[in-house]
Amino acid sequence: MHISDGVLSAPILGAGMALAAAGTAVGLKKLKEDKIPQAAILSAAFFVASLIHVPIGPSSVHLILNGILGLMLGWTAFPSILIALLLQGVLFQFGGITTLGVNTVIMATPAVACYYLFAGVVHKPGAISYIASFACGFLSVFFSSLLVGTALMFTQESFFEVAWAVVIAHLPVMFIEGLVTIFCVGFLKKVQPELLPKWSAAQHQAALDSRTKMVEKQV
Amino acid sequence: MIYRKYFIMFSYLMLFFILSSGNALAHKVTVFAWVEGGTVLGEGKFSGGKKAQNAEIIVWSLNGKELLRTRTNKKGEFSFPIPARTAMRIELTAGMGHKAEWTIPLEDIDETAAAKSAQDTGPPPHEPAPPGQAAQPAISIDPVQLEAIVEKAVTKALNKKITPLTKIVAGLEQKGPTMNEILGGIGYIFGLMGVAMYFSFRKKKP
Repeated sequence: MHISDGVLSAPILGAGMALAAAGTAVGLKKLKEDKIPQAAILSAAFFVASLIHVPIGPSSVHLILNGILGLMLGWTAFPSILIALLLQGVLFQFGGITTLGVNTVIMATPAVACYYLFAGVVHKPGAISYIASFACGFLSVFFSSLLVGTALMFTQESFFEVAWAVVIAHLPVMFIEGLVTIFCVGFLKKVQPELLPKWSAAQHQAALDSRTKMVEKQV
Repeated sequence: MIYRKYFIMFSYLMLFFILSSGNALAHKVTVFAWVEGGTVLGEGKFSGGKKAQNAEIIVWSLNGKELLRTRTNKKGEFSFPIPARTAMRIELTAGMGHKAEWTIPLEDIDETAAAKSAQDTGPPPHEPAPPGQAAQPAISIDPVQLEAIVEKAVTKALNKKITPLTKIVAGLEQKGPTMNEILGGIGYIFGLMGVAMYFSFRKKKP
């Protein structure tokens, strides 16, 4: 879902750059010191994920991972994705330099949206958490497809045609990303729950308390 | 049992979507073209070597005049006769924001055009031999004719030899990212992390 150079008109490119710059500014402001390594690792994961082609049938799909990235980073997804896309553009000529702003908005806006939609829900126990995680991975790619359609709407291509084509093409990716996100969230909840968003110290304390209570009961 | 049924339905659905997905998932599209005889041949590929099927090709002259439109075939190839004696910019649009360009310089077209005109003149009209040379055997060939024949043969032979090479070059252009580049990118990201941490640390220190 990278739009190449020379497809979009100048106003769209400018608008994309302005939006990406604003998002990046917000993201950098929210980037606390202890979150820097996490942001860098997720940025690297995003950079590499799109190189991993999963050959299914005659075609091959590649991962995007903007759902889990947004869930864990919130607004910091903007600078992380910007850097990853810049490097993809410079090193592999994927996407383009003039379209960097537009591509960043296409990838990062759904990430931030998923953060607001699902950050409070993934902590819920059991099935709700799984459903929310799946929806997070699925919808992030879906929203990105819609944004590609929106960006291309201003060229000769019609919105519904393009958006439909992109959504259909990325359905397998949406399913795979949903499953990957379930796996990631489940793993983090077991191993390092404080990496997940809105995991407050209070919650942590509550979890610890319930555990000690259980231990006391057993004793 | 019910789960099994759903699973099979789901698999078919996935298969359908994957089969219908076509070229949309590729990263980058490239187009490559060369002149052979009086025609322009070319091919469009996505990174990873997938063919750009049924993509629109628009040929522009360098001053922005549209010369012709065509589409790539199932193999991602296209061809058209040289439309005009001018340098050409071939633009491939694969949809969903994928686009690539290739320019054919004027020299390439001139060269083949010259070769072609030499061919077209064909065997020049048989001139009556000068009286002094009448005694010579009939095998003697007119130099102009000879040149045309040789040129034709050489062009043919060269094309045969060069076409595989041009395809190899085109293939190299469409190579996916290498390990070095990938590791380099990750290195850059961690370098930036270092810079960010350095500055945040300095800010904290009074």
